[in-house]
Amino acid sequence: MAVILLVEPDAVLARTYRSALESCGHVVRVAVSAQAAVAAADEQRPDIVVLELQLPRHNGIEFLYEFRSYVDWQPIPVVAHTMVPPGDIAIAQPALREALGVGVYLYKPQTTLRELTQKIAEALEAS
Amino acid sequence: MAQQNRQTDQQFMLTQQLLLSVVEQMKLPLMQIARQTELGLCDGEGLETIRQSTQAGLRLLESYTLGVRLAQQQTPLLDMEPVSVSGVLYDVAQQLQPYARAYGVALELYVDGRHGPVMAHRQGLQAALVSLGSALIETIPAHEPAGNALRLSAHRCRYGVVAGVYGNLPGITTQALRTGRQLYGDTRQPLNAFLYTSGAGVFVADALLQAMRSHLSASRYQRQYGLGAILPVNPQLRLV
Amino acid sequence: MNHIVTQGIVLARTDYGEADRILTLITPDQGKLRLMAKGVRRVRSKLAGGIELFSISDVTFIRGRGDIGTLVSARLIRHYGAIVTDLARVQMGYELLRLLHRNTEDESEADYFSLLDHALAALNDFPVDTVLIDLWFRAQLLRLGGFVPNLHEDTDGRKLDASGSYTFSFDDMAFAANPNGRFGANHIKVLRLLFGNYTPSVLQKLQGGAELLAACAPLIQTMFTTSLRV
Repeated sequence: MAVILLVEPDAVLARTYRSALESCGHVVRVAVSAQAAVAAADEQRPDIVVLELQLPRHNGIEFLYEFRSYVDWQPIPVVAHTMVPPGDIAIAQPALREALGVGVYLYKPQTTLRELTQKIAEALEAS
Repeated sequence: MAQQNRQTDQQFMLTQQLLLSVVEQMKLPLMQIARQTELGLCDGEGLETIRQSTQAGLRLLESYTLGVRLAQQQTPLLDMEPVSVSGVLYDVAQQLQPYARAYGVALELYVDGRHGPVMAHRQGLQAALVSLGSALIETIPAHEPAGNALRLSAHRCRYGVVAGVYGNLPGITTQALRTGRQLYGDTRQPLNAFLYTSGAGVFVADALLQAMRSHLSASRYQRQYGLGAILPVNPQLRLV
Repeated sequence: MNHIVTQGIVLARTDYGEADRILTLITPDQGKLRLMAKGVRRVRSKLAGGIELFSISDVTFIRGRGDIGTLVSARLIRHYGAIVTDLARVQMGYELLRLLHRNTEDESEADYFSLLDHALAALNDFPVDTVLIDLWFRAQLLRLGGFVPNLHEDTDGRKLDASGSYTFSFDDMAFAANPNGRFGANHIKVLRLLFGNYTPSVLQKLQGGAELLAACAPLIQTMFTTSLRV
């Protein structure tokens, strides 16, 4: 069981993902934006962040730079689960992995709920 | 001839860009359906979610198709007619209410005063407002402070009547809309000041209104921010 | 109190204790500044710690006893807001900030501020290719650091020939005449432009630019990694 910070701007998708993750026994906090995610992490330290990169106003990469600038949040694993095809930000992939600690990059339209929960479990175990 | 060819090329590019934007936007309702069915919740709420996602996708495709057809018409003003703005808004509200409920958004209808009819392409105007409304319904829950109310409204302005969709979305500014139009086709989130999506709903509305010789504008009304269609009032119609 | 006003572009933000943030800014007249934004708890802070990233702000601060001043106020002058609509450009923006931060000292000159300003303006201008911006930025950092290759004479001191073929000697930081060399007049022209006083927007108009840039990229990358801090 883990505390998952789910950063997901779409309310309908957020409900679905939350149900799926809660049925695995996790506690899920949903944040709809980068700023809300920082606030949520501050209120309750997550064990893992599941992050949509395409957010309103401040995108997921901005969130990650902010998030990782706080020393106590640096070890927290991050799974990118996003509408952005990996090819669209090929230039950013090395930085996402190495500087921003995104261990897994999942392309949302092609990732089933089962795959998502499995990858989250693997990331939690690795951390 | 060369100018005509250039215009045709430009139209094609715009249509192609709009199509790409629509294709990107279609991923959202399709993913919603896919994940909901994967979850296996076939109760009332789950099925209603699937239904609303399906309808949203179909509406977007229909609005896009209408926009392309109107843009391709040689004489786009042919099907203009006197239209009751409040009547159109009422129909838009009826169409969008279930979608708003699926997103937890309260949708209000507000018409300021009595407006005479405007000359408009009724189907196009309704499709444009539905497109706008859908886009803002999807986005407003993702804004801080928690946004959960939108208003469909019509009011007078200097240029005629503005019929639009309003909410607590301070990111909707003339500058943001202008920047979005410039970046359209170059970036995934041209309207990221207030949308997290490709903005297809807004650009489809833009295209529909342009085809009707109207235009989409950022607007502020009763301390709310929104996007609206500026519709000229035909004074002669008041005499009818 | 002795308030100082300057313009600044944020290079980095770091955590400091429970309530404060430290901002590192590059300025045109105060070099590189480290300023404490006091009492900006992360819950209430705007994501940019009070100053937007990828923007120029008027900044008022007070010098501290040590090397960290105190931020008094900030006012946004110019925001390169289009950058944040594109994830790849955002990442490139952060990378440029990081490179500038790594390769500037506290007493850095106005040229570094100007370089970053032009780079962000180019990133904000979508027709301008990001590969071009990256190479241009690195070339300009090399130039400001005093590491400019010889783009007029070869390793033997002879004027570079428009019809000649060359290889590049990193030891000499110059081209060496070589009949089997991969580099010719057009590559040298591109390098002169990248190391010259042109902005990326101007360089964007080069014909055949993409292929030439791709050919010159390894040269600039190697010069960069051997001469500057990555």
